[in-house]
Amino acid sequence: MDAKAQIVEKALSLGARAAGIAAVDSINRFAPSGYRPDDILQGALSVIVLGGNAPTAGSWRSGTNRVLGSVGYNRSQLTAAARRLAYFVEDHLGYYAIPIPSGNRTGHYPYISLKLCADRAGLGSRSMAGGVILNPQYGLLYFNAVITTMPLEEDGPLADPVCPHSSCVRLWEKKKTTPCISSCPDCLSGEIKAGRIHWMEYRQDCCYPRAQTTSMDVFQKLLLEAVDESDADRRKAILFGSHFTRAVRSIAYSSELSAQCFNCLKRCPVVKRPSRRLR
Amino acid sequence: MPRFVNIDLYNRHKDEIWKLTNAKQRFESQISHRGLTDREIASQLGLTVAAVTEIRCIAENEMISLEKYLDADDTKEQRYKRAPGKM
Repeated sequence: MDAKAQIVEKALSLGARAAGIAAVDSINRFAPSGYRPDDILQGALSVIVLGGNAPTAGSWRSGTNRVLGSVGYNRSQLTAAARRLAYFVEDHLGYYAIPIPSGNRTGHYPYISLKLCADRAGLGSRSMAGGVILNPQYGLLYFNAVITTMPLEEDGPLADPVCPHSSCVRLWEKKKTTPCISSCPDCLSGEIKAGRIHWMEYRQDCCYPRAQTTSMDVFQKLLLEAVDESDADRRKAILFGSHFTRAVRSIAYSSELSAQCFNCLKRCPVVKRPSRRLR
Repeated sequence: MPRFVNIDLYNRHKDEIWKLTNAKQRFESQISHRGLTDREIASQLGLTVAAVTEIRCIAENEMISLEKYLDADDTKEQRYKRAPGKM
């Protein structure tokens, strides 16, 4: 088995549902300086991308957004898999490796774009739903990655984009909307032309409080609200209240920190496809 | 660069910096529309990178109101039940 096949097999055995390779040169054609793999690891040549950790099909059927967003998925397993894969590359293949943190470097800016890496690794293509990468087999996937100095053959972008799905193209031709845009018209807008995404806009500032309802930002905002509050009873109501309590718990347990909305994808035919065979 | 950004500097530049970030993203085939990095914004506005980073981080938090977070659960639950195409 060649080294690339070994890496993909190892990634899958560690819990990834899909894995692919992107070349650093290819990523650097799009990523700005400061956000390139070789800004993190000198001499980096390849990025191994792991996809997984999306909500189970049962989570989509939970019937409430709160259950789906709170307990339906967990991103920690893939982070651990990426770290273990990095050790595997160093211990067994003899190249430098570093897992890419999936969190932010400063404010809302990431270390590097995992969406871009996933696209170049052939794990999916950008969608109308905020540019979320959709995988042809699994639909929604979260991504982690390992940057390495090991030269590996790039999988490259998919030949055919996953989005828009043929049913979305038909809906667009009839009603000038798609399931994602109609589910969240304030975060999303766009246009389909000749069966392809012609353009799409995503308002991250609108999405953020819905996707990260109990994350670090709201912790800071409620803390400031409490500090500025002169009334002791109201201060107690803020700090002991349910929202601040959830925010504290989210930070303590690294849960409910991101991706708490899912509304744009709840009726996406690509996301729903894997659940069709279930009973 | 002081440890914390000067609030006058913040107030002077927060709106223009916010507009240059990834807060609003556009994708269009073959055309690049990405938000700018702190280094690129600093170069465009004649500020230090450290100042831009501080201003951006505060603006990212301040520009989204607390109410949006507190109302989010209700908004999401209502939309979760809504049929596609219904605005």
